[in-house]
Amino acid sequence: MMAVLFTILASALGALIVGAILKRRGKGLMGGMALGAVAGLLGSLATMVPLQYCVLEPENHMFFELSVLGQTVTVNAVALLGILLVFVVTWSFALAIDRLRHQWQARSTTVWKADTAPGTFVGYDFSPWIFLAPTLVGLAVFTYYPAAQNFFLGTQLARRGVANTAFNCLDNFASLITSRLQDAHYYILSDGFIWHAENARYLAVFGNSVFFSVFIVLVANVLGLAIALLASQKIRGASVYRTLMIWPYAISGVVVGIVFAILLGGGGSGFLNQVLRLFGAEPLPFLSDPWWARASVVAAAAWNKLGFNVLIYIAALQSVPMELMEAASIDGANAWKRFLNVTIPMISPYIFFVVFLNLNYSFFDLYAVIDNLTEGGPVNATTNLVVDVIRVGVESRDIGKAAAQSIVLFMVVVGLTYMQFRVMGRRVTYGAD
Amino acid sequence: MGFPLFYAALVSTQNNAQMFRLQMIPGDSFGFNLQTVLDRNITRLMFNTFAVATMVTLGKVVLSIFSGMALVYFRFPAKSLVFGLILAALMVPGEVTIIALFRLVALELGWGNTWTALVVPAVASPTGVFLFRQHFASITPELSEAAQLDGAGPLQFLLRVLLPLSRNTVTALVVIMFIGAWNSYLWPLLIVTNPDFQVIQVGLSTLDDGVEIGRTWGPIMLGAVIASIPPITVFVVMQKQFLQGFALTRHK
Repeated sequence: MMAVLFTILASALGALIVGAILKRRGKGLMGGMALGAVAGLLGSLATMVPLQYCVLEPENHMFFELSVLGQTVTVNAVALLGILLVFVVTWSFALAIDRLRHQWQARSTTVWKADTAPGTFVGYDFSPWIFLAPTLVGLAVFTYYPAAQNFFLGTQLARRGVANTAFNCLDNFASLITSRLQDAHYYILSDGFIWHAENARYLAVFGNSVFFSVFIVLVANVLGLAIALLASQKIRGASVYRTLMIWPYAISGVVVGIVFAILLGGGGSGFLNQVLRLFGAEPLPFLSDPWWARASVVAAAAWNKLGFNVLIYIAALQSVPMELMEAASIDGANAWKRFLNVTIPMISPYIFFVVFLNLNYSFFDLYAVIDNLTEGGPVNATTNLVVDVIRVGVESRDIGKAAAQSIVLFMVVVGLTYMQFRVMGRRVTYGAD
Repeated sequence: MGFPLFYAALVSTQNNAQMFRLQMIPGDSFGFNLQTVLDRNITRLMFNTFAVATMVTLGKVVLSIFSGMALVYFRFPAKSLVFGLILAALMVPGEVTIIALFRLVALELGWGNTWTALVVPAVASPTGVFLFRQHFASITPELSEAAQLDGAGPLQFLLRVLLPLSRNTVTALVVIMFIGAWNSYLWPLLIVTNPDFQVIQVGLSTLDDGVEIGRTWGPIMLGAVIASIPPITVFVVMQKQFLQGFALTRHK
């Protein structure tokens, strides 16, 4: 009964929202409402049938407190996530249906060109499948299947090394924003804070990932571009110079972590602190203070990636036509203005390329560096999303919660990829190469 | 840029006392450190890593060439769907699926503590397929038409025409994949617990002499330097081809 009501409500809300949006864009109200109703119906069924409508059952609850403008309410995280899930999936369905409809309309008006595909081998119907089979089987078993398993395991109570699992609704996800030990409390525009959270452990972990990404990208790119500008000035011995610059790319995260550990660490006995002491300065808590430890991770990771960035930027700078720079000089632009208005726009495709590579690296590939430099500490200060997945799933043996966290990681991938396509699609026309 | 590894090399000749004294000349403990890492079976770790990295690299290159060829030189139904599936896998970093993969390989397949677990899940490479697909697509189709007129089948065309034309791409992929496989840490850390099957990256922190309180850094640094020699060598030697091949990935 509740299930039927829920589905009807979702369709009705979908119809209202999509109808209103399309009407605003000057399209038909009725078409929009129909689209919204269908999307709401599909969205609620696609999410709630696998979940067995568990978010509607009163015994599924995990609470956190939310203060908005000083008013505190207790929110059921399971229900909130359930509604969010239906909303997001409905939204995707609406976009997908709309896209399909457009394609259908376009298809009826344009004549499809026959695909001549020059150079293909004729008369080998099975060969391509034999060639593709190992790769496709490998991907199916070791990429797609685990990816799909994440969605199943995320809704299960699953322990490492135990085959049996038990359904536990959205508890794994809800436990990311609540806290079992002490109440998680979120303040929005209240108590003098614009935004503030208490006992929100996973949020802090997410914050660490964002912090690392922002600063690694900043440091590795600003320094990388600066060094590339200096390095592209002189030509003699360029290849030797280049090799010297770029080889840290080949060093593993483990070695980077261990080497930076003796440079920075050891309770004031690390190399840098010894040097500071020689100059009569106090040793700095590189690995024992939360902010210093985060900065240390950024330094180690940026060092690892810097050489590669420099190399790409040298290639980028060489692709800027001399005539443009000369023309700018004649127009009276000084070096800084030339850099800002000629060089930067000309090399922007390379900048985006490097930035997205570095972003991917700093979100997903820092485990080895962190594990060997700070081990995620002090007290989780350098624990990022991936380190936490391993800690929860392998060390604490909670596969279900780790799978839920993996889905959060997956969302980050989707977000980064979407951003990449948006930005690249718009900017790449500046004429790389 | 080179200082951190230079310092690691310096410490690899020192004992803890010399290191903590900030001695900037080589110490006298190189022999002791070397003996320690040999006692800790660094040769076994290095051999394991070399074997696994070689198998993974070889598998990736061969499978990628075949898949790239299928995607460029054949017509078959659902081709764009297949390519889309491979592209989708390209976007997803391994860390996203690692928990479910760990459960699959350790629990359902029971491959824990084997080289199979280190090699087989890694050999299907969306990056490699993408790289070769782009490379083959950039080769003029007249070549394969000419080959067909001369009566060559796909395999003959691959061996006689495509491979000689693809040296840079193959090298680039070998460099990327070998360094990646050599440096992989998280997966072996999870799936291998038996030191006989372990790889060097995970083994590094066990290269302690186990006598002194706290870590003895000399042997660990020596291990780090030894572990870095193969990937740096591969990288420096094949740098030029790597960069030429790598340029391909930019033209998505």
